[in-house]
Amino acid sequence: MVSQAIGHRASRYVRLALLAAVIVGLGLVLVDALANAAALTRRPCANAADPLGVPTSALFVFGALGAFCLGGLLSHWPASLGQAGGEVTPERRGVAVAVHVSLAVFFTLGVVLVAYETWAEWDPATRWPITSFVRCADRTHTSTSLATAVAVSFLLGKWLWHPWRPADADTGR
Amino acid sequence: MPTRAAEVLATGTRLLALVVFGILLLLAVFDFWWELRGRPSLGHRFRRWATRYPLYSLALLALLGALLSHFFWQELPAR
Repeated sequence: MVSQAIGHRASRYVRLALLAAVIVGLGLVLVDALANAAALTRRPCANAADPLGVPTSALFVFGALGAFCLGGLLSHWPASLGQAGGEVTPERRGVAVAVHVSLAVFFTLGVVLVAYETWAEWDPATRWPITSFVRCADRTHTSTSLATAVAVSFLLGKWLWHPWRPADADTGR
Repeated sequence: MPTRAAEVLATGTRLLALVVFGILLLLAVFDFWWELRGRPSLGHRFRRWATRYPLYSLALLALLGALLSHFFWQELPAR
């Protein structure tokens, strides 16, 4: 029992520390992209650029997959110890509605971005697909882009990892 | 690099960073706050949705995997 309590506390601190690190990192990238976009255009990077070469591109893909799994495992850690994630305070109705609206906006935005990507890929000679911006950032700011891809994948893994058992969906983490 | 392409690159990157990272950052801050207060996290809310609609969540994950590969994977050179 004592070791389970220590495990729950440890997993909570690890999640909080990683979430804080991701928030600070994404915040820095956001500010830098908004305030210092000229840095992106100093080195040449045309539309429809190829992705990076094999060792680095594999680092991106497997780094992102690893971060996704880490996020998923951390979000399930208390459940994997064989106990529900502690007492969960009931949600107020207003907060629940706000969360649902935010998630609906998030998914709608995802649909809009994917639709734009499809439209731009139809004729990439005249339009810039999102892929070109991403690959350009990879080429000009490789380490920052890798860290960002890992951070975003960690968040998605923490949020979207499917529960191993239906009961795990109610553990609250 | 032509000036027009540089402008498109700077504007597009700014917009993309603002929209995508801004929303992710907002959701991450919510998640951190709920985690700190011991309230149901964002993952908890998503997991309840995923349990209720497994095919939708599978489609979402397939889309994310396809985007990851599309953005970063180096295609094999044509022979």
